[in-house]
Amino acid sequence: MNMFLNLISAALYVMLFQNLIFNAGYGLSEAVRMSAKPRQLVPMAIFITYFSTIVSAICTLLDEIEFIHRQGEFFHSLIFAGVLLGVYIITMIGVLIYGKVTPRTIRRIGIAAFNTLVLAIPFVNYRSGFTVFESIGSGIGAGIAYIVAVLLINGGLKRLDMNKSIPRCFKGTPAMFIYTALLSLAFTGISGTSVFI
Amino acid sequence: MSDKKSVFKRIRNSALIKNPLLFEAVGLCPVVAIATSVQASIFLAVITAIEMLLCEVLASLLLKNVRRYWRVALYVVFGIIVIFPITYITNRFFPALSMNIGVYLPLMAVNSLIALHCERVAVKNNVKDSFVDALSASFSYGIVAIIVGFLREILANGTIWGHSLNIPIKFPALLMPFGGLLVLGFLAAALKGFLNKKYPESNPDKVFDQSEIRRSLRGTLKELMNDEFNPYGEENDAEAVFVRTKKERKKKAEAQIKEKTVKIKKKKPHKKQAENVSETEIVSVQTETTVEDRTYLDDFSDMLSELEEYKSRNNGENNTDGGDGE
Amino acid sequence: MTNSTTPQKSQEFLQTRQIMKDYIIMLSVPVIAAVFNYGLTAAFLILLSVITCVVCKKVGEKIIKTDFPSRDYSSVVIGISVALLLPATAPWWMIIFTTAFAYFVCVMPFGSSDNSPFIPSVAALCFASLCWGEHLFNYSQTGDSLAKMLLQGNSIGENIASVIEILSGNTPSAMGTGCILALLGTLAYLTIRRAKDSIPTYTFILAVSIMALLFPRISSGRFISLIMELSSGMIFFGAIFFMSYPSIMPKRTISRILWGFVSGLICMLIRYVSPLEESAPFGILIACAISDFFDKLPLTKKEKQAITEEEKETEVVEIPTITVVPEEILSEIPDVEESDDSTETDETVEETSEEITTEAESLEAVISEENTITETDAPFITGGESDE
Repeated sequence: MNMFLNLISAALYVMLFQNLIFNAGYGLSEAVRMSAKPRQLVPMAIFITYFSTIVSAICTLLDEIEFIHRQGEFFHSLIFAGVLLGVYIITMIGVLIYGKVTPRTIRRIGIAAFNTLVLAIPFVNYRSGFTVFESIGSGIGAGIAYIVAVLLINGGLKRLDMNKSIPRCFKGTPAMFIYTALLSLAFTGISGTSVFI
Repeated sequence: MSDKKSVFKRIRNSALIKNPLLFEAVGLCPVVAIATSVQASIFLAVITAIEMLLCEVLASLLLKNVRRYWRVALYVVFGIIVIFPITYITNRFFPALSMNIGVYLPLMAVNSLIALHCERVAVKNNVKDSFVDALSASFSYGIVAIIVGFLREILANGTIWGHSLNIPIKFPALLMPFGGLLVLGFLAAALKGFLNKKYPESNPDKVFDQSEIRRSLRGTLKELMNDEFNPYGEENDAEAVFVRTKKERKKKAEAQIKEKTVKIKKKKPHKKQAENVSETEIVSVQTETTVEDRTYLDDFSDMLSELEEYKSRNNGENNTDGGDGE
Repeated sequence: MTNSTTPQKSQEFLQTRQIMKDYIIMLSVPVIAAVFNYGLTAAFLILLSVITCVVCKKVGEKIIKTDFPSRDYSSVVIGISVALLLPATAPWWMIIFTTAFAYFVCVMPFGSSDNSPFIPSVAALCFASLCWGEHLFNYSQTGDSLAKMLLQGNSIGENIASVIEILSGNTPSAMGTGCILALLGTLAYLTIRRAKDSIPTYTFILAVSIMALLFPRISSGRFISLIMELSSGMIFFGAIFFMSYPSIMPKRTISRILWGFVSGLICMLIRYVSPLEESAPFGILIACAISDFFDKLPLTKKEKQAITEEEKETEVVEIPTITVVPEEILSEIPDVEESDDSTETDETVEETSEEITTEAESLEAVISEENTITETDAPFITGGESDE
């Protein structure tokens, strides 16, 4: 029960209290670009959650090894990048053996695996001293934070699209950036001025 | 001289019309988080330039014959080769800068800007073109990052390169990611206003495709997985399929042209054709026409001609008097 | 700047103007209370804020070259509400920059305050609280504000005198958010004048009250917790002025009820976790962002009935029209030429003949219904079949 509560609290932490996308900027490009293609949200969110959870858990398990635990952050960052590459390679081998996967899905897997949001999760876990279950929770929380971010930005883009009064120089990405900035401002109030990374 | 001009033109286009930060919204994380001072922005711009140049040149040289799903992993390997030594040196010799940048420096190994340009340009072109593309993209990315850093440092800290300007009023909130996005928004608006005046035919809105915004995200998982996904600007899955040799690439290009020609011919059966025009000329003319070229009169005249034909056929069958009213 | 307007735009403009006039009347009550409590300083700061907003609007309109007249009093409303959310000790530059942020960031990029997806005054307050927190929460009265007391878990005590002091605005607070009695009068005006728009206000207050009663942050009783939570910060002010903003709230009644309630819950949850003294404005910003989702809720039975009745009333019987093409245009139509590829011609002929038969059938159906067109008038139609 305790482990389950730890998992939930870690997920809520990265989702709300220190929202990775709006408070720290991780995965902002992916969130903004996918918000313009809402039909890609579910597949991308599944893959991002998969990669962030697995990478997060493996990195925390590796950190339990005394030799790795004693090393500095630079060595840890090498480990995290290596684990991400390894998980991707194993996933692709599995996908290719399965065979019934379209090129579109393979493209999605590539983009979902290699982005700042997925690689940032092990750093968040390392700096916060999360246990394995908390790491799994933060991985799941990252996926949910991604979904929330994409839905909110997509809602804004739809509103901006319907708005015929937007000045010509603000149409498109300028108004979108300002909208996302105000969303980020709203989430900053939850955490206050400090961001832990 | 014309080579130099075209290189300059490409850099100008990349910086103004297809700016990766301001109009494509790629590589936002480092700029929004790290570019809070001129020093950090210049550092970010230099690292991005080194990474882009190396990755695009290597991709153009070595990765053309590698399948896409391994290529994306190799981009990360190249990124690690560039970024991690720089991270080590920064940690060792510039600890203050390293503290400022924090975890964002190693994250630059997975910068989406690199993968996008390598897939779009490097693996489809020669080394020279890839080098020019890398130069133009990193220049446009770097210049925006430096402007953002400059503005944020002045407005939030009242300093430039750490030297105080004695500005009485500061806006510390601009150091947060929200501030970075805000500055990017206004910069994009300013650039767009400039483009509307100076280059009115340019359309930076096309760079960030918002045509699918209104599509519903509801559907079964199978439908959503089968939905079109084209992040690298390819027309269809066939184009994205790996083509190994030059011969296969040539065959594929010819098949695509043939497909387009047949489609267009089917669409316009009554289009008037010049008598002495060769087939290739017809193909080239027809492939250039688009749906917007047809006017209401064209559609109406097609409809009327079809009715005439039907009438004449039926007149022939039934031998009736009525019809023309003449 | 041209003045071309469509009739629809003019109607929207008049509607906005009417709503803004209502807001100015409502805001006059806390303005009077602020001047009464804080003297001429309050009047000066409010005036400065209004002038700043009007000047920013003029400058902004010149920059973006708008072609729609903008005397809809929205800048006056933004100016007054920004000033009322700041303390009487706020420096003049803070008023200017906060108001400028409200206009240049939240109004100008979206065209007008009507089209802004966020409430300008709230966003400006959030910005000010992150930039100049030490000035924002520095009040002229001695002692801690209610928001700070709640954050620290301190209570005002259980005596009625403290409650009366709170309600009359005798506690450290922003200029317009302290006098709860004055705000109650404003709420009454809002309810009478725009009853439907006040629905989210009431559900917002209900949600805040439920959270304050169920999860009090202080230990001296739930009633005191309720009074303190509702009177602290800008929650009550925000409920009246910002939750009733027509351009932000959902369109349907059930959506408004739910949106108001959920917004209240969000504001209170943020209050419980945020380290900032006043964090409710951030909750209202999030509420602005999620308002559209509430309009996508499934329709209720009543709404479905109302829609079908509306459709029946406005049902239009389509009378198909047939145009007669003059001979001059007929002569301009190019002759049909056969294409070289015979298989393609066959396919296209089959397709077009199918289309023509369906068209001819539909035209015949029209003739039999209308019976107004003679053979000489419509040569094409009678050419298909004959009755002989």
